[in-house]
Amino acid sequence: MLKMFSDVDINRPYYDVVFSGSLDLIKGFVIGFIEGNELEGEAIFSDEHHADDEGKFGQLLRLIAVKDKTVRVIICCRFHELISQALEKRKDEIPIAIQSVKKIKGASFGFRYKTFSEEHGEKLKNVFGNLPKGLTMESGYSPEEILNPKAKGIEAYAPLHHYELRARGRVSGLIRSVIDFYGQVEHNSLVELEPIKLEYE
Amino acid sequence: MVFFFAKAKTVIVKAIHHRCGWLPVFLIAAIVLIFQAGVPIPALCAPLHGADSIHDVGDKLSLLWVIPFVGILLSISLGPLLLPRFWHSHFGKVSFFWAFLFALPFWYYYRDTAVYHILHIYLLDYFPFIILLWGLFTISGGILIKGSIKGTPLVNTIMLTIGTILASWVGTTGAAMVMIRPILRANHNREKKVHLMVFFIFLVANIGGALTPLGDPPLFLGFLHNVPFFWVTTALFPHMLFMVIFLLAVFYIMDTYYYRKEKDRLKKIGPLKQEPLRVEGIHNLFLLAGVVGMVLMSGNWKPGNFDVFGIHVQYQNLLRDVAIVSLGLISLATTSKGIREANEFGWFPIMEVAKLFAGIFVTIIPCLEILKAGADGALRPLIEVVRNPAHYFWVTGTLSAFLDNAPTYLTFFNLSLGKLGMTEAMIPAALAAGTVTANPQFISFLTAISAGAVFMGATTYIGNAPNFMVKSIAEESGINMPTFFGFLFKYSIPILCPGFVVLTLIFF
Repeated sequence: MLKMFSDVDINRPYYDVVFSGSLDLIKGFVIGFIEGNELEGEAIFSDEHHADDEGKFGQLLRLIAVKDKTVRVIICCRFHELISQALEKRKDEIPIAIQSVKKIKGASFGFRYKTFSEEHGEKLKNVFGNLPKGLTMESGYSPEEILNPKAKGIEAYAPLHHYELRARGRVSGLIRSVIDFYGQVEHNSLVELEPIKLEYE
Repeated sequence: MVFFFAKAKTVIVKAIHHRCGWLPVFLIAAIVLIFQAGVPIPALCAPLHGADSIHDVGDKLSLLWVIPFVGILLSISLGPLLLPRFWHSHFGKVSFFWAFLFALPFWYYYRDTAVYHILHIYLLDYFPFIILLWGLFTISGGILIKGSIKGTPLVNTIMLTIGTILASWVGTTGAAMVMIRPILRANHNREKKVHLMVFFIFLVANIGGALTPLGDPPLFLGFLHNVPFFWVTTALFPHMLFMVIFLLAVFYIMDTYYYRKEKDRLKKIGPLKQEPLRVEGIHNLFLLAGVVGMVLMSGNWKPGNFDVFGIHVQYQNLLRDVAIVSLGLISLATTSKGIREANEFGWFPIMEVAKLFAGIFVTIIPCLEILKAGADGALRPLIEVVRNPAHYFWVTGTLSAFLDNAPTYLTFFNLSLGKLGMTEAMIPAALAAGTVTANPQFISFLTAISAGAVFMGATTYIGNAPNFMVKSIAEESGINMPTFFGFLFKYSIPILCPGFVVLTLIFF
């Protein structure tokens, strides 16, 4: 993830730019372009932003060359227009093209978690109950906590947990905040995350 | 006939009146089974059958008598998965239901023979089995490994190896209880821990218990039925060594891969607070040695027996059981409360075993009798299908994976005896390899049965008692353990099954 701001302003406009071409080539070209022109901006590539909803089938189709290689890059702020002009000039030399550009209004992702540990349960409730600035929890999030005092201790043939916490919900907000929060919770093996869904203007 | 139904109705009404909600269900179910078993209605009111010879019941029993045994095993397998809350509160009643469903018609139809068989299996199998498990559980629950070291791939591999070795001497449940928390502490900072718990189940909770009758319940049942104590040690050592080396190698590769992937993150978190490892309650190791000594003694010393309702109870077995109970009580009296609390020691697991096996041991009677009858019994097709050691390994193993491995072992143990026309008294001589009395076919069958029951108990959460225990402790430590089918398809089939295939090609 290339950030060219000293302090990223989450309110800046972000664009969903779909390139055709290979990820490595696009990544090298875009980063080189930003660095070479000393542009103020940010580019988040598909291996970092979790906004691709291609799925396994799509990956398979791309692998067997049935589907074109496309790379979704989330870009701030408008320098894709400069990239587009540069690519236009050198379209015979560089096998990259911009397929679409859409201005992003916001983003969201669904999640669910389940734990049988009170310690982890408190942490999860805290993480999803106190969302960072720029994020909101969509309605319907209500962690369900079940306590079974009878089930305290070790069991072998009749296992039942004395504590159980499960919840599902959807976090939405500004794209930058959503991506940051996603990166924060994705390492927690107790949380299952859906891909980030972009909303356009 | 009218009298019978009138009496039954009175009992049911009384039971309902006294809020014994389950009793009518047992009675009704038992009556249904009597009819299903092909007993003509007049037979219910007819004079009781004469005392059948206790040895020829197997050839008279139809497969319907095995329904309660299948029922209890399926209940144990499916109850925790499908109805966990109901199962947790009522497993004892379910066990009693199946036991009663078999015992009542069996007693009604066979009277003295039924009483003999039920007493026989309780006195000679159930009580020693529960006493041993209680002893090992109580004593190993007094051993606490404290401190923490960094869970690197090498350290984790060493800890799994220690747990594997320990399992044969303190039982798989005891070893799992002692080793699980040090391993969890050592890997507290690690992100990917599921594979660690899966290999823990494979090695410590199952395969590690292959070397002595103390290690895994099926092998102790074998010991109770005349298999010499150290026979499994020598017979299963090559098989176990192969599986352990194979699994540890796979584990080391997997753990190294995950460790490298998260090395940067681990550096950011900073080092885990390390404390040197130390063992508390070490005197319990001597008590465990005492249990081993008592079990060994009971296998070698033959001072004679006394009769309880016509059942020969050996003095040495009584002495062994009394000594194990004493050693357990000494452990309880001499181990600090803090150690037991740190191990989350409680009586629930042993209560589970006691209640469920009380049902298993009753309902298994017809199955064992039919198998003992060999080709004359109703399980003749099974005897004909299971022919060579590879068959025994895979059939015992597959059933052990989905049913409990102890009754499965006992079933195929009897199948092999029935097939070869052997009695339990002939077993020590038949297993004495290299002597004139040795029976190479029986040796290969029993090796395959033992390996199948112990090794393939690791394939699912329901294959062996400690599997669920490990899953439960891991989940309560914040590890997202795979589901039943996740465990089977993501880990057991891809990792264990290739090992079992190679094992079959080499040894069976």
